[in-house]
Amino acid sequence: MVSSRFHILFLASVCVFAVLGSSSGAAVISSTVNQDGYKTFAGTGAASKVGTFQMGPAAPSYTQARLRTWIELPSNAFGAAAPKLVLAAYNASFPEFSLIFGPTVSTSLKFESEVPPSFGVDERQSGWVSLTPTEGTALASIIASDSQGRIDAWLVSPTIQDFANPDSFEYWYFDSNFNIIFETIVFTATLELEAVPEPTSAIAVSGLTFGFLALRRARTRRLLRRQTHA
Amino acid sequence: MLRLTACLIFACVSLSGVTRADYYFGTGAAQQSGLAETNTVRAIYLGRLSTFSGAGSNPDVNAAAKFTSMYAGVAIRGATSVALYGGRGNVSFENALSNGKMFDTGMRFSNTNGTSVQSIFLPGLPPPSGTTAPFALSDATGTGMRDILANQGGLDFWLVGDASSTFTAPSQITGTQAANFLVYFNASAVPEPSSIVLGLVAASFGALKLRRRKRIVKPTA
Repeated sequence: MVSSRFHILFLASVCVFAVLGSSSGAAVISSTVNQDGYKTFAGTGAASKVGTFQMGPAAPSYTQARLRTWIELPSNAFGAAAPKLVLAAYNASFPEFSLIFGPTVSTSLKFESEVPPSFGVDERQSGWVSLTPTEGTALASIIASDSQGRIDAWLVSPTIQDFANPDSFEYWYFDSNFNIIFETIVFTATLELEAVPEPTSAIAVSGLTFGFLALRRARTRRLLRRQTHA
Repeated sequence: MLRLTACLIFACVSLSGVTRADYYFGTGAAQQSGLAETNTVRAIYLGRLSTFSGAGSNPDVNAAAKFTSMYAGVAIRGATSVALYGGRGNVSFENALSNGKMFDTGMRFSNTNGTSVQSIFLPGLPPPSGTTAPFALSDATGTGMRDILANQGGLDFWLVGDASSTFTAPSQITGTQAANFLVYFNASAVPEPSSIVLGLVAASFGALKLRRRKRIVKPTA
């Protein structure tokens, strides 16, 4: 009876630790900032700076990324031409060519034009895209290189130039007296990264689990010994 | 005889000037299309304006001889000295231009910063919001655009830059707001026949009176 209760308690505890462990493994770091809007050109391509995101402190590696942004896309933004997410060190003065074609962390996250194209500035939320282990550790290294864990996100296309992540949009309308009234919308973007667990968390969770197992084994042995003596 | 002729010419010229004085024709506005074409130039279609209105306007195109001046407002990004054209043709800007259906207004739009979409009005805000004098149109442009509106019922507007430029004129902010463009025209009226006849009658009386005075002053010997 006692053993059975202990067994249930043990399984429940293992489940709790497992849940804690898995949530630690899929920790999502999110940062929302005002869009930057800066654009740079190289060859037939261009890069539009989405913004500087606060992602620190750095994890050992990252497994997935996704981005919400306000973007203006031409009708030919498809396939290889579609702007993709490139993550670069905070305020790094990359030559434009390096930023667009060079060895930054270039993800497979891209934004393609809608069908039919809207020709407007649209809020788009990407799905989660996987990062390779190499990309994940390179990203961790970039984030760790800034004391505040900042990282610059760019959208980059090698073949189209008339896309953008504007920082704001000023529009107008008439009031009842036919006066022109101006309003400005400031655009924000959200970058999310899924991190692998920190070693300390992983060790703590594993240690507690193994400790619990050891305690259980000791108690079982003690009970068996008592039964044998009796 | 010389005085009579001079008097009549002066009367005709001054009267036509009076009857053709500028007046407020009307304001048209619509959501920007944002559709871009790039061939030898980059052209973005803004849209077609068929209806002009506004407090105190007289948008009867048959009463207008030509458009004399205008204001325009567009929402643009990344533009440097982009030209505004008006005429007929909602696709293939360059074909319409080569067929004489597009007229350069002379207005040139530029963003003041490179990171945002801005609504820019030239030469300033139209009345009643502003007091800047309107942008004068050439006779060819003013007459050409007026004739297209009168004969085809709508004017198409395009922004045009170099083929290498990357400017845009977005159509909307999704889920929030349409991006509109605006055109405000002043026009000159078609001279009224009655005014001309009255003017000529008055001029004739003036000339006859002068002639009579001349006879009194210089009696025949």
